[in-house]
Amino acid sequence: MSIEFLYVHFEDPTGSPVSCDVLADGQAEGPANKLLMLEGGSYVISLDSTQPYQPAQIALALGGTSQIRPKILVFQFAAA
Amino acid sequence: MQTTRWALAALLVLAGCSTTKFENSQLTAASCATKSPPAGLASCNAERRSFDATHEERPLILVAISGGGVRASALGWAILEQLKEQKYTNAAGESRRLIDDVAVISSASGGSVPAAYLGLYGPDGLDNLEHDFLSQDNMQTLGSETLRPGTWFSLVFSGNGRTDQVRELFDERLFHDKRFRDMNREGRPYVILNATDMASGEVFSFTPQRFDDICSNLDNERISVGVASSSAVPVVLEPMAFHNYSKADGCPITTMPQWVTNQLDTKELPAARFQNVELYKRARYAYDLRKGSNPFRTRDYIYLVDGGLVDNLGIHGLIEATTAHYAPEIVNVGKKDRRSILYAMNAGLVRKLVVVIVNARSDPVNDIYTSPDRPGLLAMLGAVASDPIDATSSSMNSQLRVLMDELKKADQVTHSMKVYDIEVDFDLLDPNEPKQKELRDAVKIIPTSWTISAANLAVVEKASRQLMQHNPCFQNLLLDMGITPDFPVSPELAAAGCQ
Repeated sequence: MSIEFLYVHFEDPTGSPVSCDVLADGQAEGPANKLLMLEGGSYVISLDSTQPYQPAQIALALGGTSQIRPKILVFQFAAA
Repeated sequence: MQTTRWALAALLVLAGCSTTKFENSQLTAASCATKSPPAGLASCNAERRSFDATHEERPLILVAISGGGVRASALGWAILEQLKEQKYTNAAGESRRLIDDVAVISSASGGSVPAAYLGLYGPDGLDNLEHDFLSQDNMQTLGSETLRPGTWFSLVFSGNGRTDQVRELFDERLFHDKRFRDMNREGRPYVILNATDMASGEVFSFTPQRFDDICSNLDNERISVGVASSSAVPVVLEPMAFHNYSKADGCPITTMPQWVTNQLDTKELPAARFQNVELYKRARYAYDLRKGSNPFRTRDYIYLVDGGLVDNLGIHGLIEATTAHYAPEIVNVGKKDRRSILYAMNAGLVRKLVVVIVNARSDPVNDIYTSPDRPGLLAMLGAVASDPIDATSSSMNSQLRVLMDELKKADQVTHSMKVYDIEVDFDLLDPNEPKQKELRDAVKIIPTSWTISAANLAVVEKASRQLMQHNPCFQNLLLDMGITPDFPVSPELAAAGCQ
């Protein structure tokens, strides 16, 4: 059981970091804009649904990195 | 030869004369913790336990206690007692015990006795375990007094190898017909009693999540059933039987958890199973238990035996509760905001993570290595029973080491969490110190049984103190917490041995 690292970058339309939770398969794993640990595997990554702007979810494979080289995701706001 | 024939005859008789009694009840919509959303319920069993992570001075402590009969019960209890003795001053200026910070306790077999006892009675009730169980002649109660000081196998020969009797013993002495709902309370640790699914060799834990998988009501389950299932030594005791109520009429659980669906979805996530085959297998097992439309196996009944068969250290449950992304939300991270342990670690709320692994493995004297005669059937049966358990324990322990190393590595980047891994193992007694060597030799020959003599109980307690007091990470934790114990602490040892 390996631990992998993920960083989800998420800003509001003004460029300020948004404080919200990162979800993996619907489960909250930690805050956005912070280095997160996650068990190696494949997940559907999304953001907390209480946010006013919802980016699309992203399917992601995390694994095979034995070093701390986090996968970095940049979420875009979906069109209003 | 005569003994061998007798043993085989006894085994055959026991194997052929059982009537199945099922131990569990079905979930109903009325018993669900949440109301069904339009898409259907994926979970129902309630989770009421929570560890408060809003106090940053508190360590988050995880404990695993191995199997090994009452020797393991005694060692696990002695270690918990030591966590109870050590106190620190919290941010409010109040005295607080380390045992109050145990968030998760996972166990197999004999280790499940102190784990469930702590879960039911809390730290204040822990002292009574010695009188209620450890100092009792439990084997005599089970009807094998003529063979004392025999091991579990004496139950086979006495004809009393029935799990129900062991369960009744647990109820009479320890749990008094209390149910899992009595452990599933605010302020109690998350107790994971681990058994083995006889059909598949999977770990089957008595957790709300696993009982959701079989649409069964965990709150209604007797605690004694969980402990007896966790310690149902194959051959000696019968497996415990459970109905799988998934898809039964009236079952309120109608959908799969998203993590299960995603792991098995080869269209959207075609590489999922290649990324982490263990995670994929866990998803497939949950899917099969929930009777998905394309199962690997359709499971109508579950038969559980000793959890030590696949993980005698109880580490699987500990790792899953800590790092799986679907782990239970048992940590309070704010006002009525409950999240998983992993979430709390990721949010920087856990400053000190303490992992205590208690291994009560024995190494009894035998004549295999001194006799020129080829070992007989019973010796081989003994080896078949114990060698694979030791091997899987070693493998699980390696997995935990990897995890600990990775968590420590993460701390090098985030600088937010320090990891203390405290391993308690009789083999860690110093062979070059005459008194410790003597203690090691004495404790390693204590037989695996449900009875332990007063002298042997004292030996286990003494060994537990030596092992904890000399453990560099325990010393390191005490120093970091500002605790001054009544035994010498070496900052040099603590620094060098706990990195």
